[in-house]
Amino acid sequence: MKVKNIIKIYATVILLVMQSCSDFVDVVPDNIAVIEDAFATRLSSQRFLATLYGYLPGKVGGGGRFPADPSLISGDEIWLNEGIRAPLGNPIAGPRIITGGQNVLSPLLGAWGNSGGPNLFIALRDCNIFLDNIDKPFNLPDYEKQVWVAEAKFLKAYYHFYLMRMYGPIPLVKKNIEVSSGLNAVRVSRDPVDEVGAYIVALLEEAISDLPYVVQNPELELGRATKVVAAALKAKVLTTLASPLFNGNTDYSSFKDAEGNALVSTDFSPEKWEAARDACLEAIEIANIAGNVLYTTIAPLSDWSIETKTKMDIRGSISEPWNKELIWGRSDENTSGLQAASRPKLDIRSRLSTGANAYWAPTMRVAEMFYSKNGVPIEEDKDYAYSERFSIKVAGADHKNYIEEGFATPGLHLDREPRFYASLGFDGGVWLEDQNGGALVESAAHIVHAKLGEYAANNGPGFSWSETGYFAKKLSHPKNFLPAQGGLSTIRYPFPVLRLADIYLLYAETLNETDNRSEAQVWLNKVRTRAGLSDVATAWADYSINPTKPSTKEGLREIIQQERMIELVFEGKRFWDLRRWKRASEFMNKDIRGWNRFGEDTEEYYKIITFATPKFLTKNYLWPISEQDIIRNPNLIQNPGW
Amino acid sequence: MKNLIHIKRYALYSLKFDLKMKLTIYLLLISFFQIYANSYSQNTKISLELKSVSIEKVFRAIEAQTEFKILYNDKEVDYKRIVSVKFKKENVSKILDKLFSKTSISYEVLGKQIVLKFKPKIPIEASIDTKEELFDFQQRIKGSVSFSDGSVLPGVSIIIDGTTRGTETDFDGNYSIKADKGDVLKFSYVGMKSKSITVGDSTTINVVLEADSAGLDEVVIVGFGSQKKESIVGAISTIKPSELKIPSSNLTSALAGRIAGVVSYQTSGEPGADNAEFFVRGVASFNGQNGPLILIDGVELTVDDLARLQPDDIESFSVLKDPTTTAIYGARGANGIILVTTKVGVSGAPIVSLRVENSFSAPASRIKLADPLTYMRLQNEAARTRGNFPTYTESQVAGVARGGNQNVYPTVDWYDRLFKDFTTTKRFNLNVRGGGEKVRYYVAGSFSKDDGILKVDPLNDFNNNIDLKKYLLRANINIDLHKNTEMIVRLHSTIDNYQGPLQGGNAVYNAAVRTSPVRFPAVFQRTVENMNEPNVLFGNSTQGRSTSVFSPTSRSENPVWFNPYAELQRGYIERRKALSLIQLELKQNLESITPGLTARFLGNANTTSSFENRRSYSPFYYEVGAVNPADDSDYRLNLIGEGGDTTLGLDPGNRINNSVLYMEAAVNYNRTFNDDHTVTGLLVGTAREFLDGNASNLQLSLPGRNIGISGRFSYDYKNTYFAEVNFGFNGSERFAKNNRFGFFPSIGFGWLVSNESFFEKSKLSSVISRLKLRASYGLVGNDRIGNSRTDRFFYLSEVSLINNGRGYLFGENFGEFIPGVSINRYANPLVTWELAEKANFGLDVNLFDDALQFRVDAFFENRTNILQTRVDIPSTLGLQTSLQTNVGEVKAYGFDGSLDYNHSFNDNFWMSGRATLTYADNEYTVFEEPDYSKIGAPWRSNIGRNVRQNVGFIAERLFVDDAEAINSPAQLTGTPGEDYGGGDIKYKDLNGDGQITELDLTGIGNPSVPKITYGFGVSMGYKRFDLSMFFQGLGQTSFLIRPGEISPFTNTITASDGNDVIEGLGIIFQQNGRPPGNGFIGENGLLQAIADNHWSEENRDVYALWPRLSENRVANNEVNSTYWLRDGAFLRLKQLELGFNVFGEKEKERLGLTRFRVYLTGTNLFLFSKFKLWDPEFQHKGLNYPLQRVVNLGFQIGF
Repeated sequence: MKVKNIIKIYATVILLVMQSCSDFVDVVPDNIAVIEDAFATRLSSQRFLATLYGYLPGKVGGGGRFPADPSLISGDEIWLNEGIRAPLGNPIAGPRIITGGQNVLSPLLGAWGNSGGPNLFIALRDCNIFLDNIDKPFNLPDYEKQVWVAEAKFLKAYYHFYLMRMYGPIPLVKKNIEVSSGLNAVRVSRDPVDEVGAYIVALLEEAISDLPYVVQNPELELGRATKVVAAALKAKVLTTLASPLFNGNTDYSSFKDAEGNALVSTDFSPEKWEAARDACLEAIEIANIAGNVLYTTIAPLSDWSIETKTKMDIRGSISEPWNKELIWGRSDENTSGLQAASRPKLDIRSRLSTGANAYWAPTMRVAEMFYSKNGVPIEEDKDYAYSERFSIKVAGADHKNYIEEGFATPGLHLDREPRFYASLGFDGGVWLEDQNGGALVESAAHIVHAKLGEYAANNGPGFSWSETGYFAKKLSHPKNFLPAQGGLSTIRYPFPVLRLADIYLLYAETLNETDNRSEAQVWLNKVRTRAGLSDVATAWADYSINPTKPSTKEGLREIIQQERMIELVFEGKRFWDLRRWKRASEFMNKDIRGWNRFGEDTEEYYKIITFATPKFLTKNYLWPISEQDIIRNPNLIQNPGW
Repeated sequence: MKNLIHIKRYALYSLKFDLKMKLTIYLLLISFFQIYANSYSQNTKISLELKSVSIEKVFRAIEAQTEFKILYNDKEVDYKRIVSVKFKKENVSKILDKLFSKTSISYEVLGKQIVLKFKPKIPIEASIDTKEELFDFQQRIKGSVSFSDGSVLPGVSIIIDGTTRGTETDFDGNYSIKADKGDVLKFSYVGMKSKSITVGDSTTINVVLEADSAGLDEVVIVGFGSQKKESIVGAISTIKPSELKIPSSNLTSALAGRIAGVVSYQTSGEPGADNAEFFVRGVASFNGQNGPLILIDGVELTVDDLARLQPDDIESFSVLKDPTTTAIYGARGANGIILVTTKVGVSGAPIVSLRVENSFSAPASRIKLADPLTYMRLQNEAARTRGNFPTYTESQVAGVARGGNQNVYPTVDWYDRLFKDFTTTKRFNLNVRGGGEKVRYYVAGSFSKDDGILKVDPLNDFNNNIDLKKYLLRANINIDLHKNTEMIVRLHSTIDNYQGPLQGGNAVYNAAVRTSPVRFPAVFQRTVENMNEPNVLFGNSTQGRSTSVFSPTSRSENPVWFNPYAELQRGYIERRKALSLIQLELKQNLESITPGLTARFLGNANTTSSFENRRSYSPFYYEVGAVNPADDSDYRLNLIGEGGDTTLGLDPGNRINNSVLYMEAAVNYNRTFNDDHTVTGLLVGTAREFLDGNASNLQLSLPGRNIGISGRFSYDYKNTYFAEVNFGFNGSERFAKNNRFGFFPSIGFGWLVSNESFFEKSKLSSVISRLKLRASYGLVGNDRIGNSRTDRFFYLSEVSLINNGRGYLFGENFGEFIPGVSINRYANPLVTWELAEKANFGLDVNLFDDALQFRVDAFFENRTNILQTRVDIPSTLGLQTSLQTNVGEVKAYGFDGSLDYNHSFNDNFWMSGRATLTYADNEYTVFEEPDYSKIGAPWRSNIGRNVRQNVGFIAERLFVDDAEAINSPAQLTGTPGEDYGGGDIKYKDLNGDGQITELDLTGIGNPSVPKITYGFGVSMGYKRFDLSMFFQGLGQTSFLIRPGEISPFTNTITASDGNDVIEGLGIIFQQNGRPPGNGFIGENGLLQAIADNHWSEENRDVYALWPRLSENRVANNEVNSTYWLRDGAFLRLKQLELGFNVFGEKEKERLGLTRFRVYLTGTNLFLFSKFKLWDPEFQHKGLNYPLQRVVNLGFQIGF
């Protein structure tokens, strides 16, 4: 046999094998899903739109998880007990921010890359994918497409805003960069705050013009963006840009990019306040058309006192589902966990219940923040014995709708404004709630008993107690129902991201900054009136040791700021407001305090305990970008101080 | 016994004329290989001159000069007839006419075959012309063959040199063969030195063979075939299966140190979960799949299947290491290959071999824990030193100190509570080997039973201890269908029947060290009130720790603590795993086409299936209620909550079901021309399909397929110069079309210097009996590129169009959930296999007549195209998942060598020794990472580091006090003076930026895969005794202690499914959807070493073994750093064996036995290492089920 023949044999074999080879290893069926399929139909595109909403960082948490948004538990309003704060010795992120645990190595609750929270750049990429592909579905009508595009633009603006509020200058994601682009293309730089703000506002203006005033089908669509939502966000964005943190902040004089451009403007610009003021007014006008009004309870079912009525107005403004004051609520997050965490056990009946956890504990600072019954700060009220606020007194009959008559309680709990009693639960305090799932009867209201050994002191297994002795009553709906055994059944409400009182107060703030103090007081008084307080000018004139305070820009600014902190307490506003006002270092370096929950009697219980000493440095005004992200992209400038 | 070659020729003869033979198989091969034939001129003329030779030799001479094959039946044709012939350019047919003119033989020419036929009717007449001598010189030679230790050797092949005639010894070692005076009989046997004896006057020739580990004539199993060991140009390590016999039911635990080039270590001793990690020449990639390709009888199987192999069943075990030997596997060979073949039958009466072993095993080492009182004292110290109130009150401590009531003041030795002192293992192995002329068989069965060392509560009516029973059945049947066609059927089945604790043995062992000795007893002693309760009174408490003293009201309604004893006793897993394999192989001799040509076909199907049932009940827990402070026997025992449920419930566990089909067809050519030129060729086509029957997603459910052709061509000249070319051309389903197929060539050369005439003449040859140089170079691929099998189809995007984890909930009543879209992978069509460019240089030297044999290989590898997650894609790009591409490159290098010694001093005393050493190192050469030197942190770069080196911080020492911590660079996380302070670890700020950040990380210590693996041992025998010992060690390896796992008093127990759910109130753990049973808070035990040596306020030792104690985990101290770096080097006496052959030769004969050996084996007897806390081979997994020290008694019987 010749070599030629051997080669022929081999060649034949190779050919035979080769033929079948490529078919044999081709195992993948044709119809495997690819991203283009997401825009095949209206229905699939709608899923993509829902995906965009789905990136909203968790505000209240739930399902065993704490919120990705730091605003509720990383500030000085709420203090969680040790077991919740550090389950199994592993501290959760939120409260670590308070005590100076923020760091560049593994940042806490950030939103940029690998920084302990969601990476909102993913959301922005998906927004752009949506906007680029939304022409594709064959059965999406134009009018609907127009709204969806506007919603996507709104969300794109919101995610940019969320990042800007946290990080200041950020790289704008106007268009997506292809995955295959070279390193130079993907290594983006940060854009100055003013440019970021301008882009967000431009996006929002496009969204405002195309969004409806109200959703067409509340059953299916409540929770989606509307014209009011976009306009209110625009007001908020512009106010943020006008505020001291980003407007003429000289702390950032050396905060520049590689080319030397200032990333935060250090020159104060009064026009920014004017733009913010106009946007607030626009938002209020649109809200008006959409039917938004400050919440008040409609005719009470039982014979309520005026105190009770006011308290229910205040509590309902947040906890009444989809009330007229709400501009944008988080329909996706179930607030039942939050409500359970805000509520103590109220009586012996609920001994075996598991649904009152009470660990969402307001700090003593919050208790001190509320006005006196005269509507002025307690330290300014000439009728209020400020220096004796920790001395024990006895609640009189005049307080019977607030505190159990004859209850021995510190002066701090007496003679306060209705919002104090509506927002906080405390030892001896009245807590109106319907225990039977029926009407709210004032005379059947509960009294909180929170001393050691009493129902509200320890709410069952695990870590269910208030560390400070206060309870966030405002967050718990009055018609929640705690059965004798088992969990709390709650009235679910969408947690407010934006509500009308917020916008009114922003408008008042911008009016004051643009030197229109009288008009500012008009909008301030609308909120005060609902809270059962007299107007600013009268209150200060009659009761304050500083009666002319509202007549100066600085004085009124302080008043508006405190009003905001009171009205919007526990809603996650103070956290960001203190930053944009550049006042966080003033508040966030003071002790976190509360009552001694191990006290069995009045004397022991009303001792003040310090739980932690917060730490806030200038660098904390902006979040650190994780070091990993800085290393990956040398074009990024780290925030000052980190 | 018949002359073999004639039997074979008869077979082909029959095939031609009897189509009832199994032609189908033959035709199948023909169609596959397209036998090519054309008519051969009848006019072929040859010249021939032979004197006094047999007709057979004439035939052979004709065959040599032409392409004719002459076929005949040796019963019919008198092939021994002696003739003399002389032709010049004569036609072949004329020669044949003349040779058979006076006989009853006629012939027929069929193509190139000449078939001789018997025509009985023609009378025999005297021959003409040629001178005829009808004298037969041949005589029958008889004798026996034995081993130098006196045992008989069945299956020794005896061949008459220069012919292909031969025979084998029977089961008694006897043989008989017809041979001429002056013929040379060549006796050869695998593992023995061959012996050649010239036939003289005597008709009895008894032969003694000696062991030969060099095995010059040995055949080595290589990819898709075998090669003469002499002609190997690559690097192959082989090991005698007998060396793999250790008293363990896991073969992988025997590999370490015994095979040059294999790096191996074991990190658990738990039966059923004790597979060793092993790598061929270390690792050369930074991805997860670095293990070698495992081929058993040519079929790719898993590590588990290798672990289950019985050394008794193994015929050969080779490890292929270099490019020439691995390139033939193309894109699958880059990580080296382990090739195992199992035994086949031999003709003869059945040889039965029985091995029975019974082992006693106990942990080779035990973690030492501090006594309960020290535990309490130091836990109070831990609380106090971190600014908390002490955990235990004075009265509690005093209660324990005075040995109070165990229910009230428990002191639990959890180890003792959970574990027995020792356990037993039984192994039986029985095999039968034999066969007739046409059918040979090897049938083996084995059974082993491994018990764990866990305790079973007498109240339980089920066994929760580990009980692993393994059954194995193997049948290898070789059938000669025809003299040129052999069929081999292999059937193999293993069943593992496992019963054990719910969480596995490692977890139980872990828990013993992770539970407080003083919190609660494992089980309460019954008091009068609960004397009659039917359930076990498991200990627990409703009182958590963080508030224990301060807040007596802070009680849970459920058990808070993790009670490992309850966890162990509350249920068990029953798991059954079965592998079954059926294999058909056909071997066809195609000498009829051309001498030396053979073909082979192999089909294989194997299935693996496994299922488990987890049965458990929820225990009743109790706690001590009120206690009379004056009298601790006066107390109440309360049931916690509403109790449990003692009826068993079921959780179906994991199920595995997969199936592999494999096919292989090969043609082989092997021929020597003119004695000097040997040429071999091999071409093989393979196809494999893997199907997962229990896939969790669509992409995993798609079959995994490989297909390819490979080839090997070699040439050697005078057995002195060798050259070899190999290639593999194959593809797999996991890459994009244009990247699917790869071509992997290699080339190798060898020079057997000792066969050179100049060398043979030189004086050196008296000392150096063999000297060989080898070199090879080539490309090999690795298509297992991801970190696991699930990393496939990188060229496809993976999109979930309806993802309920995404999306948003809208609507007034929160009723409109719209699911979202997510991307799990971005398509990258460019992803392809890893490519290894390898070179190997080898040297073989045998000294003193092969008594000392030395071989060493140096290797170099450049692995490119390593799949890497792109790290420099900024997160601002907004990708949902990371991108992976083939960018990484690793350079690997090292050497491995072995030294063997064999000598028989006299008939009574022999000795052998073996040592191996492997050095394997590697370094990143290309790794996508930020330019660290640009940002002032060059030490952070991976380039130049070993891929398995740990990365961590440099720990300077412990902080002296809080003030120092506050004034030092800010550490990773936390506030100085609060979250960390005096007595916590101080890290070095490498870049001097005033804070410890990721940029201060650097490579620390030696790699976790050891650079050095070695082993050495000696065996010796004196008369009927034999003794062997083997040491094994690792060097240049480090590991990091995981402080979180052993940090005293902290809780590190997590739910078995890792699914801890923090519900609003407290912590509720859910296990597989069942109601919470056990609590899940633990308190780590206190290692005695930590109790003895830690930083404390009184003893501020900044270099203490342990930092300042804490009841909670201290994040600052738990990061990887040099503080936890330990030397993993060790040397252990792995095995010591003493054997005794009970009977002498005569008694054996009388009893009909061929072998009766009793032996005593000990493993893991001594350990030498710097690290003392636990066995350093376990690395950081020190709390795993310990490695066992085994004492084993066994006997082997052969008859």
